Amino acid sequence: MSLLSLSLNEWRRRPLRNAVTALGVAIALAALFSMLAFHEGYRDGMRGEIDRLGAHVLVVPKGCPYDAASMALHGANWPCYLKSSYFQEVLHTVGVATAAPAFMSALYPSNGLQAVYVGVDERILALRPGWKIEGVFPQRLGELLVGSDIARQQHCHLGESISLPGLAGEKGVISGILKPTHGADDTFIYCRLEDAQTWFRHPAELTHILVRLTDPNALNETVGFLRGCDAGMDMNVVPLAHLFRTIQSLVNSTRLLLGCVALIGLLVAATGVSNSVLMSVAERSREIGVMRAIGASRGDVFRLICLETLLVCFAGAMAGVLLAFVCSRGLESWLRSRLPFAPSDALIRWEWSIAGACVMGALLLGIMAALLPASRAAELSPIEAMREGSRV
Amino acid sequence: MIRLIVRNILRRPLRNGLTFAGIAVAMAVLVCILSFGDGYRRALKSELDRAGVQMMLVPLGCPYDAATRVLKNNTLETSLPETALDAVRSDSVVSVAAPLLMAAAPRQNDRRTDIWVGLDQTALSLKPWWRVKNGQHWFSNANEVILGADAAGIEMRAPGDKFYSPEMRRQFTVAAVLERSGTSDDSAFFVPLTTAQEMFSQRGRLTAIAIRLKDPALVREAAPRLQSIPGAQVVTMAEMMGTFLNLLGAVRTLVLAVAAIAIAVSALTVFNTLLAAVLERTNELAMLRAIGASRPQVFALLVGEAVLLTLCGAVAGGIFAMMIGPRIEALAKGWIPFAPADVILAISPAALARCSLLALVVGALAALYPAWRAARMEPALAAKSE
Repeated sequence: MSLLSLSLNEWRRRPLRNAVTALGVAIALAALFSMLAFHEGYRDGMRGEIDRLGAHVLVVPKGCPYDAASMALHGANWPCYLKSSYFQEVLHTVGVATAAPAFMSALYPSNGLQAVYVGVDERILALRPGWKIEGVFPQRLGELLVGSDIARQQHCHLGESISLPGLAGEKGVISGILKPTHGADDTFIYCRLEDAQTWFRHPAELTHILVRLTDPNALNETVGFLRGCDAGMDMNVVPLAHLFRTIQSLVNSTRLLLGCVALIGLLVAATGVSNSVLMSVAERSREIGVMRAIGASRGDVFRLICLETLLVCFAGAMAGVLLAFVCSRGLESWLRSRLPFAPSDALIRWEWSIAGACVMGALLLGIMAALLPASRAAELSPIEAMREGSRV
Repeated sequence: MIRLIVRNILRRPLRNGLTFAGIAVAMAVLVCILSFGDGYRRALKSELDRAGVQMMLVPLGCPYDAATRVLKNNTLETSLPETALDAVRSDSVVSVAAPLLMAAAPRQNDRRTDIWVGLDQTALSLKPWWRVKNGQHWFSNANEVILGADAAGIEMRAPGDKFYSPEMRRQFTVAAVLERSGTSDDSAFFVPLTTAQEMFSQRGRLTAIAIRLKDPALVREAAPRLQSIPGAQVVTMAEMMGTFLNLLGAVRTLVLAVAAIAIAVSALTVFNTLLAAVLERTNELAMLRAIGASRPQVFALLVGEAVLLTLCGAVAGGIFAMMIGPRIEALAKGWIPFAPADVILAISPAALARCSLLALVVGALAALYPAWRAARMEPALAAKSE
């Protein structure tokens, strides 16, 4: 009988115990995997979201710029506003290639969905080169450009006149439908800036200004100019690269903490594995004694026990990665409800490299967990072991 | 029966020891996390209350970021014009408005950064913890410096000493050394406001203005008025605390979830250990039944074993947490955006109680199946097995 089939024997002998031990490893490993995959997904999601915004700098009203940026990215009601006149100043600042004014407001009609209206003008097109529009960008008042998700939900067609969700008595004509962008734009309704200002009764006010620079490397300089212009004292200039860095550092430190706790979970799982193998060694001391008596060396016994442990850990690791994969959707929606700043892309992403690293980690852990029971088994003297079950 | 349980556990010292260690580690993590949340909220509140400051006027930019830096004596990239101070002081509801200028001076040779704080005498009324250990009460000329307790320790200076700061190219006289207050002031170098403005070529600029109102209830009324000062924005301490607690709450939930996984894994180990014990002791258990022990008694015996093991684990975890607590706290203070200077990781009895309760439940749950198997055993098996 080969070493491998001998170690498989152990599974047949105590299926429940080995399954429970493997489950422990699986749960701990699933946590580790989700955490690592989450970080990758979060970073890429953030970057993608900021790229899609098409701006280098965001000009928002006074208040926390992180809140403001989150609102600009995901659509929400703004608590305070910028004066329209600031826009011309921003546009004429040195280093600004183009800027787009925006008025955003979110409504919550009775059906539980949110309707986000964004008033813009043609300048937005320069910031969103990726946009593909079926039809045309709104040219006249009352025309709308709707995101692909909205178009699908409301079953609207080009040229159709619809009553605006959440705005009783107002009607709009759909002049364009946006092809899917896989971002928040899919759920927005774009209209003429003047329309949005009238509908929401904020004439001559904006919620934010998207700014694109001529040279992204001259970011700090241009931000300085923007802060120094006449209106600079009444608005917040947010360089998105800084925003990205700050949030990233916050997430990194959180990840460090989570990683430590997940490692502790894995350590606990390792004690469980060690314990379970120790039990099986104690139960089989007579069997091991016989093996030694018929010629198995200490090394053979050591290898056998190690292999058994590794099998348990490997099964656990596989199950853990699978578990993480199955649970990722539920976990993601849970995380989304907890995190203050979550990008709209998938947060947890399947990565082969992470899965591989996790399985390797589990095997390494298995070797460590096997050391104690395997050395105990190897030390058993054949005669003693056969005479009585040794106390472990 | 308790004696029987204890004896059974002691029969397999290594196995039960390992199980116990697993529970203890998982519980220690849980106790730490729970106590941390409670301690943080308490310490944050007491620090903000003690300062008696209801709001801060900071330059444009993220106000939370700004207020944190000011409270932690870190420097800001942007600054306020001094005219804002006059505007604040002329407001009818403002009782004290203290201007601050903070700057960091990195010292390449010593690989550390000195925090220089420029302030005027109004700051004294907002710093009730400010006690001069020895020396003068306040600056008598522009080139004097008051050292925080830690700063004085590092510099090894006493009042009256003169020292030359090569980074600042200035000669200073130590006017006083402060008593340790447990706040970030301990590591700061205080100089008169105008001196600080000269040193860092920030003439007419301020980092922040701390504001105390005549009546704390007037915050809502005063905030929008002060917000309209050009180039400045208001952060109220209540808002700030809310934001930090929210952020910390999110992190805490995530960490708790991962800690719960460690507990679940340790519960599985308990299950395994107990099941092995039942199988090993088939003979003995059947004998117990044969001499008159009822099924519930056998069941209780096994559940008792598991619960005792997990409870001991929880207690050991609590002790472990107390031992490593200060170390973790030092680590945590390094990355938390706004860490109060008080002790934040005080192991609270409430947290210990919650963990013990959890240990009890986990132990009982893990024991259910093995105990049921033990209770199901027929007395007649005693003779047959082995």
